[in-house]
Amino acid sequence: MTVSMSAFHGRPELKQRLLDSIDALINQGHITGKRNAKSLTGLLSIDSEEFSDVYGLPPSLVLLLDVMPAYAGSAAAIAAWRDLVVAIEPGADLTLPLYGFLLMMLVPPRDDIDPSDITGRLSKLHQRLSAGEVVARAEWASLRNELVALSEEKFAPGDRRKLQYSVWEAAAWPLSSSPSILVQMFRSWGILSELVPDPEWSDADEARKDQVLNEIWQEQAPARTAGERPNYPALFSAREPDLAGRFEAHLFRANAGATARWIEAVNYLAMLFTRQGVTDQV
Amino acid sequence: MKKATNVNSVEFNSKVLDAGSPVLVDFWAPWCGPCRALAPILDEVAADFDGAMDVYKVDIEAEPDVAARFGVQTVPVLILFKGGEEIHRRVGTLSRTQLTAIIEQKL
Repeated sequence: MTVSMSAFHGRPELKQRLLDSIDALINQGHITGKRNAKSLTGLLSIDSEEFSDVYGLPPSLVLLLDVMPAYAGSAAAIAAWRDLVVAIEPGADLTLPLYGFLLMMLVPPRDDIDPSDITGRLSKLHQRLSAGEVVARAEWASLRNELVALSEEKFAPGDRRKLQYSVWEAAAWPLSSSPSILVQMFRSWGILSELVPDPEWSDADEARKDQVLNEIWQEQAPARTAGERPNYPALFSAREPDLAGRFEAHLFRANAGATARWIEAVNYLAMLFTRQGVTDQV
Repeated sequence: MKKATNVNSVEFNSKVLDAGSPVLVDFWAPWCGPCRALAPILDEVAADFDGAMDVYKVDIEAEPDVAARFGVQTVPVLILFKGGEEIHRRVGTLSRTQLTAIIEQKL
């Protein structure tokens, strides 16, 4: 089954109505770019299926638009989110842009994480689907099983590289019948900035940090048993001041990178929508 | 297509604990972003396992008694019941692939 529909049912006034609603929510301070904002559908008192029907937007896009404000993290990100709606041309078929967005999010932020070419193999399955080909359920299931096994075998619990596998696991379903795919991938997209190579924070630094924090955690067991709440950052700084300081700077860069990646992804989808709108008009 | 549906404290025993088939219960809250992200996955899982397992949602703000009864203090929490017994509990979000793997292993 391929879900395709005409955006805003081809009616510009519906797009304007949605933009007016979004602007009202922003102006009233309900959507500010602070984390944990309410969802768009929650604020509009409409469920996502009804939203999809009313505005003629694919369910996978509705889920994305719905939770984006909760993960935006800055006013600039909220502006990008609003611009995404602006980029949707009434009447456009958004199916291919959404596949394009999915394929972009499959690519990991570092090369050494994908020795089995999961990216390429998942991309091929989605490309076959988007071309109208039938992909057997067993093909998806086989790749999913491989992903779960690889993730468990390759990485210890807590290894941040597992995040990339969670993105691929989310993507290992047909988009046409699994509207949750994009929102699941997008949630991890920003966090994956932690995997972007940081020249000032090596894998050895990461391993040493984990070792020291683990030692501190174990040493503080009696304190925790006694009901105390140890200040772990302070303990870390006291024991390894240079490492702790560089770790804090690394975290700051990763957090800034998360917001940048978030906006980059939203802008990329907006570009795909704009291009589709132009194509549909030709 | 079958979806995850709400269950309240009055219905909980009959729909979950006395059910003939396994039941997955999602404890969630309206203010919880990860819960909202998990919701469409639960709908898809409910459709996938239609006939083999039911999927219900408990809003812990609307149904605090049910949350307290099962010791749910954070959300989201997923509990899998079989024959009225809790057989698996997962705190936090997970992918549809992970959730499907857990269910297939436990059912």
